[in-house]
Amino acid sequence: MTALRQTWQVALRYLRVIARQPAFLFIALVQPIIWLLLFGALFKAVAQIRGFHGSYVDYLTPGVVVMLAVSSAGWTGMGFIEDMDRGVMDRMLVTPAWRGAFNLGSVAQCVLSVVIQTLLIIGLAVLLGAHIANVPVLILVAVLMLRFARKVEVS
Amino acid sequence: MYCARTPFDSHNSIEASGLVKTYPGDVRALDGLDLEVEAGTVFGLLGPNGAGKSTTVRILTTLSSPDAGSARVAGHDVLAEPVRVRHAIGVVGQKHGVDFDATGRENLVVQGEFYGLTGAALRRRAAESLERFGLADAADRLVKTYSGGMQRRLDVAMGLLHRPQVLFLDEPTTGLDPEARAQMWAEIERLAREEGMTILLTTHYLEEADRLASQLAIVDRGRIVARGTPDALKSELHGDTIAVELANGDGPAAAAALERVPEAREVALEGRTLRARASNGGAAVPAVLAALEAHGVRAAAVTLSRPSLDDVYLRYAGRTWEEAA
Repeated sequence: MTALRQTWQVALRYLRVIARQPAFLFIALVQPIIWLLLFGALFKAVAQIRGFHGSYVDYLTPGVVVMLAVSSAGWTGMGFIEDMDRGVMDRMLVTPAWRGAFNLGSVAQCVLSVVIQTLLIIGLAVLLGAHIANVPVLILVAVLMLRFARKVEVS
Repeated sequence: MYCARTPFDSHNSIEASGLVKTYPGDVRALDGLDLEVEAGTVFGLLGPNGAGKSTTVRILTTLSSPDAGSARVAGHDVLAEPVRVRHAIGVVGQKHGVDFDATGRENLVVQGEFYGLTGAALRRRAAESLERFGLADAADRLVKTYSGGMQRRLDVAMGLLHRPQVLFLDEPTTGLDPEARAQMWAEIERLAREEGMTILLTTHYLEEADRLASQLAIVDRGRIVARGTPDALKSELHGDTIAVELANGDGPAAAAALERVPEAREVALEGRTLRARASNGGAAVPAVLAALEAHGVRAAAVTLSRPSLDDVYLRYAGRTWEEAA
């Protein structure tokens, strides 16, 4: 229970940083939308190649979601580096808090951000005319990708 | 509950023996350091940058493990029982450990949660803490809008939130303006006097150690080279320092002349300043000036001073403070 609370406190720390930097939040949301709109329009003709089934947005949306998950995971480590530079990491490590909380809290924040971004992307894609067969599966895949990318980054 | 006040009967709050730590590149940060800090005292660990003070603190606060040697803090072994040690200690590090993108209150709440404090009790304690450190008005402002002194006070408030038995202050006044430094000194004195907390203070400011610490150890090149009370260390030097600033003439010749004055010992020439030590400085000055006069050397200024910790450092580490720092 204490471990869970501590994990949440760590996640909350990072979420607060994001929430208090509107510019950062804006970029994080706008970037994938630009990918979807720009590349969606740019490569629309790809769908006309023989053997291509469905619309290009159908094809692009999962790609954007996966890219989002992988790049977000890559950036979570940046928070750690900043914490180490500023002495925040030492400050946390001298407390008796559960060690795993520092890692899991940072991952939890990332998962939460990516899920929200994914939902926005999917919503937009549906507006653009994409046929999404199985939304829960898509989100699950994104989360798994995220965990995988995070592992790669940590190791 | 987590508020750790475990009984421990040992006389010493901190005991370290034979600490060795080597960093990559064959840097021997600690070279067999021994340390004992009596419970309820302010202990000053004094030394220039790179002497091994911070490494010692990192080992005692469980952030780093020694290559050899052992240490106990608040009765617990730092290697075998790190969690117990962490409950008992408060640490104010050299760098700010505060989160700049959170408010002062949020920083304290997160810190409290890490010590297992929760709910209304934690909120109350955070509020008391803010009040005590003069941060009540700024409690809900982001820390990045705080002044340097306020950030440092929050730092200390966070280190004390769980009421530790042993407090580590790693260069607590580095980078503070004189006013903020004076406030910090007053707070450290108050903690030691009223709360009977054991405080290990590292500093490279001689005056800070002189004023705050009841016991001192001088660290140089990873070892303790001297220890005792500030007064005892100073009185070991026996006598006063006479410094003569030469107005003219040949420095080395003047030094040679001074060597022949029986009252003056340990004559040294630094640039245009001649230094000597004398048991009774006041009585020795006329003889010193007469000897210089006889060699046609005039003095631009003569100063007489009681031994300072700077002199103590010079004696034990074999170099002056400025050279080492």
